[in-house]
Amino acid sequence: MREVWLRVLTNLKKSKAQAACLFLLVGITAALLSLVLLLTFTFNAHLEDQGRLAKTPHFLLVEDEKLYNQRQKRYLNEYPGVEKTETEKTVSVVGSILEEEGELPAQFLFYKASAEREMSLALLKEGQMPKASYEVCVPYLFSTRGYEVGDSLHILLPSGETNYTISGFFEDLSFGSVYGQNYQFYLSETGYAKVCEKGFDESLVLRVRMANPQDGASLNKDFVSKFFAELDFEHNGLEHIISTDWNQSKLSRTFVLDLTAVILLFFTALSFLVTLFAVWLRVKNNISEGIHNIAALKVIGFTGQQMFLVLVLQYCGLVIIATIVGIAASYVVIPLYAQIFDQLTTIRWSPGFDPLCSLMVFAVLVIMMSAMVLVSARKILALSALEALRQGLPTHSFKKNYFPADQTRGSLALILALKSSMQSKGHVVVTFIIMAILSFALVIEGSMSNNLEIRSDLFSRVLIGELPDARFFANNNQEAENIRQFVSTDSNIRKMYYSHNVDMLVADNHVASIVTDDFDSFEGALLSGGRYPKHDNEICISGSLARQSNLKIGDTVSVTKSEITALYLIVGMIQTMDNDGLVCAMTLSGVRNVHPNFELSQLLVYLHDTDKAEELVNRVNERFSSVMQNSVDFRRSIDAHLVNYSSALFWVTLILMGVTIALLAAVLYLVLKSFILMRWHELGILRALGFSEMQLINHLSLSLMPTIVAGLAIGGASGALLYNPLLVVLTSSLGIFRSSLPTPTLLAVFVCMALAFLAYAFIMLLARKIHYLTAYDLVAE
Amino acid sequence: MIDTSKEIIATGKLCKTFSTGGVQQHVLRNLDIQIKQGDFTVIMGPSGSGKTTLLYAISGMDKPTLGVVRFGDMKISDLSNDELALFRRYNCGFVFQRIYLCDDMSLLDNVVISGLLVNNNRKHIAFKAKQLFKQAGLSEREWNKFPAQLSGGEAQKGAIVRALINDPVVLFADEPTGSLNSSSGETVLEILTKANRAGQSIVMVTHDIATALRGNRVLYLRDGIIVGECRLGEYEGVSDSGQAADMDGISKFRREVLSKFLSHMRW
Repeated sequence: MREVWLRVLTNLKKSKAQAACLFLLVGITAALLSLVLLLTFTFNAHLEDQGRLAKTPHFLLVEDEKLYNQRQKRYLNEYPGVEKTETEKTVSVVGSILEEEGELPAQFLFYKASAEREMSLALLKEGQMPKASYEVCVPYLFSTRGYEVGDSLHILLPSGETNYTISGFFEDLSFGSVYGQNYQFYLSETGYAKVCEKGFDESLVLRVRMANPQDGASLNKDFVSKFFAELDFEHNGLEHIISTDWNQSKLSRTFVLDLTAVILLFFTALSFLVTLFAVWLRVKNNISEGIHNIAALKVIGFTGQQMFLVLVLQYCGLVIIATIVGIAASYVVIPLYAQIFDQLTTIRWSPGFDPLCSLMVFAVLVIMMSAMVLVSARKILALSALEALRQGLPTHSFKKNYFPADQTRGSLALILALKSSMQSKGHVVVTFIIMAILSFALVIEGSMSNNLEIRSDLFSRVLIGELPDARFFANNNQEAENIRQFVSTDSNIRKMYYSHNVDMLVADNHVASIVTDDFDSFEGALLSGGRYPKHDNEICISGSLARQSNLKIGDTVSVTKSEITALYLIVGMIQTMDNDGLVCAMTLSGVRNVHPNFELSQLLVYLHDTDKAEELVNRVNERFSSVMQNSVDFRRSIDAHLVNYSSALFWVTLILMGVTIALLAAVLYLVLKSFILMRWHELGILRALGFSEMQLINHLSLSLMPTIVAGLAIGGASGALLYNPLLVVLTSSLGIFRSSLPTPTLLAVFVCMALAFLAYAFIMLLARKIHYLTAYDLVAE
Repeated sequence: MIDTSKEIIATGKLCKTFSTGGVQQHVLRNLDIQIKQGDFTVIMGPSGSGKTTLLYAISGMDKPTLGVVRFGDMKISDLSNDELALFRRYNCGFVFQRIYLCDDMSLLDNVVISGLLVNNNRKHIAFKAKQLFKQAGLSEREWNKFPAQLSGGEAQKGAIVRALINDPVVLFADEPTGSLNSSSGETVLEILTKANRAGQSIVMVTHDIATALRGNRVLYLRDGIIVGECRLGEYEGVSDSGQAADMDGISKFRREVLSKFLSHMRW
């Protein structure tokens, strides 16, 4: 065994650089896989723990106090799985948060901090509960936005501007995510009394905990469906009715994290494949490069098993150490990730060591890579000493003499290149696959970064649907028409139309319906299939709703508003992240079948110069504040919400790009070095025969570059073509079923060219050694 | 017409020093040798005497540490690696002890690739290669094989064809029979001798007396210095019909001269 270990050490010493590259590849793959598992499992487990700790309700409803009647109480008592219910008074007010960048629309739920409660316990993360009337304890989300204890918080309520001093931050697991606009604020007794004094009605918060937390979602659906007519969200005003469940709350915190994990998993899979191929290539080349040593050792009595063991120990040892280092590296990186995602999850998360995740990564990588080592090294078992002495029959195909030199036209370097490529087909195919995978990954990552950071408006359109510059929500259609008349005089107006959102029950789901007669004016990527409705019996439904209720274009679906139900024909599919993806679209005449008195009173305005949206909103506010429910600089408001997502995703893709480039550099070095080393002796012979340095370099370049360029081109083109379908696959869980984001073709071409140049530079760098060596040195080496 | 008085290689104060682990090893020391056109020069000497180093220094395979190497009118000791490659391409042919054929090319391709370095006419090169193969006793079946599929003798014959394809001024052979059995070695030597009789200048390194007897001039090297030179005259062992000669055909006189010379050198 001692002699086997000595061979292992000698081999490693002899090919330090290649071993280092392989180490890097395995390490990166292990780190990525560990990150994916930690993000997926550890955070979710942490969230569940926090939920248990805070006794977060599994169903939560904010409604008008007088609506909570005996029927509702009885329904909850009889609902299977309900463990405990609790009610508490709150003041629910629609307003906005005033920040330097502008107003952020919000719905505030004010609570008395001192009230007794058994659910929704405020987990204080920093500071303390409010004592004075001017103090407020706010969700941790505000801390991630840059607020600190002692800072002033300015909010705008219908009664006017109110200023508070932040006394502390608590972890809000029901609301307080960047996904929603609902914020729970804890006030002191006197502070709460002051809010009540401003004339806002008190609402009731109904909290329910279930035996199985997952049942919160069905209770939410059933409850809203059962009492929809009574609750009538629209009629009662948004400030009175809010419903959520534990699944929704978790999703609002984890969906970007999950999306990131899916993206990471996708690139980890690519990295895994690349590493697997690299291991195969390296083991094969190791046999080929060391064939003379293998021959010598076999002649003196080394058995096939011993030689096999040397390779297995050498590579499996490297894989094991690299995997451990990669897993350790992931624990260094995960806090940085947690920091980036703090703003999105609004949960303070300090991931620790997770033995199960680490063991899984270790097992997967070591088993798969070792299997590849065993498969690649098995030929050495059957290799006889004679075969090894004769330059190693297994490494070349001697079945056919490809491109015979006396018949093939073209330059000498080209003929040589064609011959060596055909004689090393396995090497060529693997190099092609690796290059294709890496350029595919880089083009996807580059396109994502471009869409997230440079063309963020297009990304927003895919996620949100329609992006007007301003939105005016009047009390009725007549007032809305007055606003329309007023703003139409502005030369900056590009177009405007009415579009209104109405809550209704579609196939027993609480759905937000977009109502307009101007679907043709839509600019976003709302429609994902079919067409918009034209007639009063037609409807478009979102992909999420279709999937949830097993519906498709051509089916009929029941729609209920108040107590009227009608059937509609599904003519199209739409996509948006709004309302958890549960959205439909109808014409005005269509909605009037179930909501006879409905009128459009929300005006969407598009400007030539979007920067002047705020100015327009202010002007309209000045004139029409008394007749408007709200007015929003819509694009800014959406940007403020999406900036967190897009910047987090942008950083993730940027990090992935860096990782991919590191992988690419390591793989290129490994492939090229192996290829050149395998041909080092041949180069010496050619040099002795009179080949110039340039001819040899051309020979090497032509042997490798066509494969590399073809791999890069095919990978890059596939990346550009499959970018949108892939994005749809990755975001379908968020309700996105069609994406037509532009792929920056120039960027793809540039990426492929840059990679090809990098490959050529590597060849030049590695071949540079030829310059300093005489023919004698080369032959003798 | 071969001008046997024409000097084709001349060295002046040729030195070669290798540095290994900080220790300097002077392999060639102030060598002054001349090689004339048409000569079959044999370099002999004990192991480590610098035979191969000398061969590679005068053939442009390696650069001398000090001194001058002239090849005809060209001072090759000052040439760069690339200039040396061009020089070798047009002037030298090589036969190595370890054969050194490119193992991922057929034997014919090994020869044609070498020929294409000098002449772009594929048909001509292929025709010439096939002629040479036939002269070397190799059939079409063999020249289409890969080196690993050939016997040592067949591969070395192929290597000689490769060395001759560009009509080199000098053919350098480094222990060409060193890794072959006696029968194969004999055949290889016959090919070299015939080439020399046809006017090909040859410089060959060997430690074998029978092999050395093929030459007409023997240089004996010890510790990097030429310690003796012996003129053997024309070799008579090859019949005009090209039939392989046996040892009986070698003149007793040449054998005695060489034996005396070597025994004197080894003292």
